[in-house]
Amino acid sequence: MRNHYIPMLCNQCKRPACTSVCPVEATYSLDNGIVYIDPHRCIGCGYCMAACPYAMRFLNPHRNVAEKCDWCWPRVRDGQGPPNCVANCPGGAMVFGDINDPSSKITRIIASESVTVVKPESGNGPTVYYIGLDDEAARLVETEGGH
Amino acid sequence: MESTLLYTVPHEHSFGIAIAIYFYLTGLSAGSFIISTLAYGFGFEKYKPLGKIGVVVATLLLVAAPMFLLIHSGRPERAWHLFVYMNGSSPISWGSILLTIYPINCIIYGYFMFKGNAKLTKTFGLIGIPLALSVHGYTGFILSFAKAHALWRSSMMPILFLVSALVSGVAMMILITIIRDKLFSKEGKVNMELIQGLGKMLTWLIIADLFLSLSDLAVHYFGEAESHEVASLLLMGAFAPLFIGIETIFGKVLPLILISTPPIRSVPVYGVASLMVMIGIFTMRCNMVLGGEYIPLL
Repeated sequence: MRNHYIPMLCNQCKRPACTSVCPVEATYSLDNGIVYIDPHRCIGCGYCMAACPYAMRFLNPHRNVAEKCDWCWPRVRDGQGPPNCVANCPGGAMVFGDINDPSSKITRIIASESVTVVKPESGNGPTVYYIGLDDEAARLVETEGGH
Repeated sequence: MESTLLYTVPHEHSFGIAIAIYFYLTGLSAGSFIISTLAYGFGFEKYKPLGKIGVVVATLLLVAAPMFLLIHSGRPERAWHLFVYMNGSSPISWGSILLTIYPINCIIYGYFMFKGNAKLTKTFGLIGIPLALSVHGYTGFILSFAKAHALWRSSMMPILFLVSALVSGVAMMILITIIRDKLFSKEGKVNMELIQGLGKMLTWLIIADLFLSLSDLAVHYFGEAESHEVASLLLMGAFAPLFIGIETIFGKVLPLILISTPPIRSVPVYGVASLMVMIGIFTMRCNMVLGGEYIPLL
C-alpha cells in the first residue's frame, strides 16, 4: 500500500468554468485572479458545482449558497498574512504569492522547479502548482475517480 | 493492480431528481406544442383535433416545470436575481428569457386558436416553433456547458434532448388522444387515422433517438478515460439496469417493435407502447442527470 497526499485547494483558475456558467454573475474573478463568490447574490442553483472539474464547490448547508476555498481572501486582503493553510504548514511546504510579479518567491520557484498542475486538460488554467506531484497519484485522481 | 482511493473530499451532487423532472416536463411541453402547430401552423388537417389540447398541455407543463427549478434551488426567494443579473455565457440565463417568452407566446397562440383567428394563430404558432425548440434545446446546453462531467460535455446533448423531447411529446399526444376519444367523446371511438399518423412519427423519432443515444455512448466508450468510465457505468455498471433495461429496451426497442408490427397494431397496443416510451424518456432524463454526476471527480 502506498499513501499519496495531495492538498486540494481551489485552483483559482484563469479561465474558470464555474464563473462562466453562473446565471446571476454571483461568482467572478477578482483582479488578482482569486475566484470569489458573492454570498448575497448566489441563488444556490448548483451550476458552478456541476462545472468545476476539481469538485471544489459545495452548498453551504446553512446559508444554501455555493462556497469554496478562496485562499482566505478576506485575510489576505486585510494584510493578516498568507492563507491559513500556507501560514500553518509546519514544514513550510506551501508558498503563496503573486505569479505576475517576476521577483516574487513563487515566480522563482515555478521558474526553477519542475512543477505541474492537476487536470491541465480541463482547460480551466488552474493556478495551484505542485512540486514533485506523484505521477501515479495524479493519474489516479484523474482517471480512477474514487473507486 | 487493484487500487483503492480514500478521500476526505465530500462528493456532492449538484443536480438531482428535480432537475431531471424539469428537463422531462419542458421536453413534453415542447413536443406537444410542435404537434399542436402541425395543423394550425403547417396546415396538416389530420392533426387538427390535437391543436387546442396540444397548446393547453404545452402551456400547463411549462408553467409547472420551473417550479422544480425553485424546489432545486438553495435560495428560491432570490429567483428574481435571474432576471436582473444576466450572464450571456450561462445557459440558465438564456432559460430565464426563454421560460418567460415561450409560455406567453403559447397563451397568445392558444387565445387566437380558441377565438378562431386562423391567420394570427398561424403566425404565433410559427413564432412558437423556434421558441419551443430553444426552450428544450437550451436544457441540453445546461449539461454540455457543465464541462466537469464527461457524459455531459458533448455537443450531442442539445440534439439528443430535442429528439427525446419529441419522442416523449408524441407518445403523450397518442395517450391523450386515446383517453380523450375513449372517455370524453360521444361515440367512444378512437380516431385511428390520427393515432396511426402519430405512430408513424413516433417510429421514426424513436429510431433517430436510438441512433443518437447509442452513437453518443459508443463515442464515450471508446473515448478518453473519464468518458470510457461513464460509458461503462451506463452500459455495464450501476446504471445499466436503468439505461439498457428501462430506457433502451423497455422504453425504445419494445415500443418500436409494438408500433411497427402491422398485425398487432391496435388502440391498446398504441396506448401501452406510448406509456412505455414516456417511462423510458423519463428514465433517460434521470440517467443523464444522475448518471452524469455519479462518478466522483476527485
